[in-house]
Amino acid sequence: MTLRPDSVAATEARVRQLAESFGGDPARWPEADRPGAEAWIAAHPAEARRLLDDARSLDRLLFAWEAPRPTEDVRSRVQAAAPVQVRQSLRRSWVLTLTGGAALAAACLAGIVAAPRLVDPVARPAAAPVYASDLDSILAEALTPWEAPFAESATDARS
Amino acid sequence: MLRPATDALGRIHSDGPATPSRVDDPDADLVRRVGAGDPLAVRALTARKLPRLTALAARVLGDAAEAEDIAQESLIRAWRQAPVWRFGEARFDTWLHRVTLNLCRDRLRRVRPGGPQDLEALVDPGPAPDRGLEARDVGDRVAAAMAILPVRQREAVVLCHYQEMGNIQAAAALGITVEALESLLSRGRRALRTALSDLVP
Repeated sequence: MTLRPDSVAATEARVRQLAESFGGDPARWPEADRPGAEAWIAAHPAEARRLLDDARSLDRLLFAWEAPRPTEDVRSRVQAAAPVQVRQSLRRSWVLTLTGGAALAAACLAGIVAAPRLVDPVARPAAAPVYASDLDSILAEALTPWEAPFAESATDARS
Repeated sequence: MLRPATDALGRIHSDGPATPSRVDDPDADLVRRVGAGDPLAVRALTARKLPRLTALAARVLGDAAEAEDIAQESLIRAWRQAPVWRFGEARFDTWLHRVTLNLCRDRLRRVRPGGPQDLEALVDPGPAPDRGLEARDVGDRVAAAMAILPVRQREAVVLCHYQEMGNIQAAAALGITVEALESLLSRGRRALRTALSDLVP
């Protein structure tokens, strides 16, 4: 694979970033970056060695810190807890499923019972009918205060 | 569910946490069997995960006894989760790491209210200059240097360097983007290099 000069520069910068972040072993770098980075490393062995050796020296130091191993006691306790925990989780899951199913069934039943009442006009609470004559009287009452100023100004104009 | 966009190379670009869309899980078969109550699967999953989670917690907390408690609690949660686990949405190992990290953070908050920076006061700065360094001393120096890192940087280094997680899995365990993970790693390793500069050639 031949890299153009600009992509070589980009890849060198990226290889430095990768070594600074993930260490000096390309096998630990993000998969998406590996092909380009490995191509650059193969094409520039001297610069690559300098970059990677620097990161590898820190990697080696970090590996000197060994983690404790779990004791047999904790291993036994963890394994002993499993059957009860699995059983309780299954029971909880069944209860949730049954509760959810029951709630859904109840909601459906309530819908079935209530639906005819919702569409039946007889079942609705009776509202008093509003007739056109009532509307006329309401409007007349509401508009009365507005008529006075016009009447007064008309009288003023005439006088 | 938030899914990050990926480019043609599979690189993740997202403002949200890294979440692989559909994952192959090497633990899927064991988890399924644990959920069905298979005692052999319980033993196998314990053998696979308990040392790993103990190491994770020990390196984040810097305390082996607390690490054991936390690893135990994480696996007990795993037993509860196994029967109801939704396969294909995340790796079980990633979820376990997330649970363990959350328990570690709770422990750090409770035990050390001043935050992780207080760890600095608890660690041995290393052997006297006139003493030669044995392998164990180097390990102690690394532990001391890790303890003074900000907790997020420490978690990122532990996940990628010691737990050998890939960037996508580690970012998912931390609930951050892969770009944010890379930044944490870069800053963390730079700080470690400075703290251990007398040991780095």
